[in-house]
Amino acid sequence: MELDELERLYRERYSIFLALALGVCASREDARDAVQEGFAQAVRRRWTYRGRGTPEAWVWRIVLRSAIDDRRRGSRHRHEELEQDDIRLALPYPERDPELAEALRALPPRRRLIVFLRYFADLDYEEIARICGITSGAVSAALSKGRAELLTALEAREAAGEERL
Amino acid sequence: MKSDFEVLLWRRFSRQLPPDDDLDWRDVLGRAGLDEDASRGEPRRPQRRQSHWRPPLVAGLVAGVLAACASLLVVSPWRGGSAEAATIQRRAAALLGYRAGLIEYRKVRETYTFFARGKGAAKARTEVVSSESWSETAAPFRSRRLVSYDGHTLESGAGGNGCHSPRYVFDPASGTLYRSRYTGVCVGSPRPVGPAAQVRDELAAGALEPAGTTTIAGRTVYRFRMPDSYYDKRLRATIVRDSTNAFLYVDARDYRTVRVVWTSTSAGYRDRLDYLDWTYLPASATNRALSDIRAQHPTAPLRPLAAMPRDVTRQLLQTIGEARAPRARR
Repeated sequence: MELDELERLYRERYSIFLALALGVCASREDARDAVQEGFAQAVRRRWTYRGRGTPEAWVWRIVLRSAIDDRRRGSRHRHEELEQDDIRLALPYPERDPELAEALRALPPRRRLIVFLRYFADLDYEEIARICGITSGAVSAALSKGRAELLTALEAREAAGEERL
Repeated sequence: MKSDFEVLLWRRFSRQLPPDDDLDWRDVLGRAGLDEDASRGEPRRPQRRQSHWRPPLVAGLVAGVLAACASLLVVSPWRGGSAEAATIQRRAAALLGYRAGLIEYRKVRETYTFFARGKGAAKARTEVVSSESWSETAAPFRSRRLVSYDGHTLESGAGGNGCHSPRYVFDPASGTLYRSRYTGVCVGSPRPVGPAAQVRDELAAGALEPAGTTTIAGRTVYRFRMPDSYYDKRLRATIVRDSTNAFLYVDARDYRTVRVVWTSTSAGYRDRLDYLDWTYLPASATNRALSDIRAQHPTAPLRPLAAMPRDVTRQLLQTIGEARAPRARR
């Protein structure tokens, strides 16, 4: 992968990478550091990209790992392995959409990560499968369940007469 | 194809985007042990890889590729094997893929050709409509559009992409902005519709059928057959059932989508969209203002659309509308 390509991805998608890192890390500073460090790793390792999957999915995996490492460093349980199932992703600005924030909190962590990668990062099934190390069929199933659960939760809130967006 | 609920989710997530005012590529390079100046002149491959080169193998591969290219040029323009076609579509889709937080800019020339029944192409009538549009791809999703036809220009805009978002039309003669607000039941799909959305969706799906190559304005382009869903739905809703042949053209050099052509098989018209520019601009203050019709006319008085004089309505809307609804004139 060329350096120009990485720079273009960084400039065009920085806010999305930062948003997802914000959902993993404890603070904006940590999230920014995770994104910067993730891209720095991608720059250093760009020759190892073999063209399997899209370049963006490859970078996402590195940045996500960087964010997980960052959170692990800040965790009281740093001796424990933090895997994708342990990522407690949250909306970076829950006050902007409290209904969605609450509905997302109810999803299992892995499913929540897949929903974030699909609807936040706008990645396709294959890309998500590569990032999470699962099959695209599993991604499809997780998204199907995730959508159904979110729809139910959001409709329930709506039916309860709470604020509608 | 995304469902309505998926698009709704995607939109709600897009409201969570943080500002990108602290992006710093130099910092990334510094962390990677590169500085910006050095990175510009770096080799395309690291030196350590050169030791793995196998000259005879490389020469053989190059010769093979050249021979394959030559045979394609001589024997057949492009047969578009599925893998190759998918790659081309993926590259074309990458240029158009929706990118949140930027300004999507499109410049399009739309040429309608109406064929008189039984009189051949010599009696065909042609209308050309040009348009430019700027659309925010993050909240508040404002958009602005300039449509020009036959010496008239219609400037319109939207304060958002929801069906309750206000719509605006600018009357240059009186310097007035007219605002309309949807008052019906909001049941419409939030998914963008229209030819651009169809092009984007179908390239992203990567399943278009290759249909050879041709030349447009001196440039070689790949040709793909598209499903006619956009026009099919539009026509079914308005007039008799019709079907179209639809083709999409992608520049063979840089993979930009350059043209889409819908040709009716029975209603006697052809609609050609030439994408003169289709890109994403940085969300700078200047570019954001281009997508905001109210920012373009900050001193214009704002009046409800119902107050627009009938002659102004006719001039601004119907002129454009007639050009864009050809079957109503035939």
